[in-house]
Amino acid sequence: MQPSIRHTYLWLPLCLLFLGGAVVAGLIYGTVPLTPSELVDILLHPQSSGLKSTVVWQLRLPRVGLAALVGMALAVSGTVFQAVLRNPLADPYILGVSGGAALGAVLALTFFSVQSYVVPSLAFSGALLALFLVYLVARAHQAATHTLILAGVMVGSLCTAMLMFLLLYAPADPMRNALFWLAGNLARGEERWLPYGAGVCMILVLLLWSRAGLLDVFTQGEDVAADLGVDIGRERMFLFCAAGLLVAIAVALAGLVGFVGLVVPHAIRLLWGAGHTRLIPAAAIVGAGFLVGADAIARTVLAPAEVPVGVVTALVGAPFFLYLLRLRGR
Amino acid sequence: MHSNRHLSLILMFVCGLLAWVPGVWSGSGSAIAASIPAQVTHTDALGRQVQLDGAPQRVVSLVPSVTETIYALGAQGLLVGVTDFCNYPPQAQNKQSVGAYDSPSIEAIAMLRPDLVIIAADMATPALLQTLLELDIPVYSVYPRSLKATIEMQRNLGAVLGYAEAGATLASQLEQAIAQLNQEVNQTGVETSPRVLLTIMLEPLVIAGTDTLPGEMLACAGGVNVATPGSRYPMWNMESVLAFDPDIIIVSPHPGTSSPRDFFLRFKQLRAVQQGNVVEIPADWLQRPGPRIIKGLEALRQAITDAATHTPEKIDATQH
Repeated sequence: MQPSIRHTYLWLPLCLLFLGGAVVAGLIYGTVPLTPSELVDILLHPQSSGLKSTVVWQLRLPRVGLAALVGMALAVSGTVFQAVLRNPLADPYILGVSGGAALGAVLALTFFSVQSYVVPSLAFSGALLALFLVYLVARAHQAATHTLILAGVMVGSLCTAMLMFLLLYAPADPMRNALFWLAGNLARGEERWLPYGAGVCMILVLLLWSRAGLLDVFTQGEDVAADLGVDIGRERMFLFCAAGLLVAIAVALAGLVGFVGLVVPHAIRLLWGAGHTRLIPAAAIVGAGFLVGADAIARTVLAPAEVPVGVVTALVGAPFFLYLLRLRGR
Repeated sequence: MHSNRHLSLILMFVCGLLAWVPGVWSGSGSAIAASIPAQVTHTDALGRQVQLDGAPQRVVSLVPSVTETIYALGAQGLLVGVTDFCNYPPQAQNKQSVGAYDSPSIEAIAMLRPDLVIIAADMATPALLQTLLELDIPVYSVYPRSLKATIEMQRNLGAVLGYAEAGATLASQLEQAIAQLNQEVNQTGVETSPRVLLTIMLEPLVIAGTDTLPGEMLACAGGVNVATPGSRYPMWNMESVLAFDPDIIIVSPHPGTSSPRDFFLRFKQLRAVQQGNVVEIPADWLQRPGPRIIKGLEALRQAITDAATHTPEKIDATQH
């Protein structure tokens, strides 16, 4: 009954195939219908004008890039949080980062004359601030797992409470914008920021990948790690900061996109095992492909209208995940 | 703020319980309490029978468009309470506020001792309605989701508030404006009707479909909505705008956001951008079912006639 895709040597080609398929779908599907040959033609002639060329070069490519970046960041940080916290329900937003980012964004939308760069900047600052607060508390306890989780949940609750208070006093229009912002949106991506975001994210992902062995040890438990002479507190703090930074970047670029960071790492574990040397790059590639594909569906099913991408990630991801779970049970 | 509301809710609950225990519960306490002679009965938008002792003297409006209508009726002397969102006319902001339209402070309302509270049927919760009734405060609901319903609301509010004549005048002004537009549009003919995109907000791009008040106003002004027929407020993206390439794009500036016009000017290939037909109309003129609807209708008509003069021949030639 072993499905063939679970052969471990197949993981890289399969992941890349998935990402490639999602990117092609993301470039082909949308309100304006394209054939594969038209797409190739447009990609080979970047200087040509016309509706379809504009759609591909100015709209779909940046959006696919943003979705890939955010999907990668969320999936990798989810993987790390699940390993460090040894908690299968850990997702990228568990440590209060989402609350901080949301608070920052709503502050920006409420009080500042909103230039396009203010909201992401303040969201990023808010996320870092929340992360720093959790860090301060957790550091005192050698970043014990339960301290991290509790501090994260508390910081998150504090941010949510302040957010609710703020929304009571926000004028109608900024409040509406803020609520939409919180729902996550890949259309808004600032193209200028994308290369920087991508650069930093790649570095962070590679750094986390380089700690794959350490993450394996962490999943075995703290005793094992301590026996092996690992400076648990310090290493955990590093992993926590790197993963938190990834989330902060993702949130600043696209708001709160749900489900990717929770389900992708688990899906990879179910398919190809829990070893982080393979898990981290696989989660990065599949996370990118998953969000690109989900966004393509979100843009297409009700075209010309659009479905919030979070709805699609959960609607497609949850049944597939349940299927994988059942598969492993056999 | 929050604890106040919780406290008030607990008090309400206790009061409700006390009222219930002796068995005087009858669904609507006010109906019995107000059963003295010289009363009038009005049917509101929820189909409820609202009994009042003549014309109300102390009115709380929980609906911004109703606040505007009350001022237009000249009945602002009756108005003792408004919401944080009642920003027009500017002097309405000097009235006592009772909070947001969907979550007002019941205590603040009770302290104003109103003899009528006006709510929007789609915004106020059933719990709010029930609580007000249990406090013996008569409640009248409105639900102006279309032009017809807006005209009716103006006439009914006039009758309820004892300004029946002013209400009838206000209603017939809007009716006349609509009739005049219909006539104008019929004369020009519909084959030259431009295709229009009505944006509500830009990030994300939310537009007004055909089954909305702005959509109905657009049809009335002689424009064809590019949104799917029957749609309400779908979320679109720039790709859809490029694909449908509307003749006119209506944007509504909101305080605090960068100019909505710039959002579209980046896309030079859009017909509306090339021909200078990205038009700003204040959101409240199109989205708030009050007296300024007439301004919104006129602004839409103006945008459509302007577009025809910009490039009269192109509109017809490039119809999809």
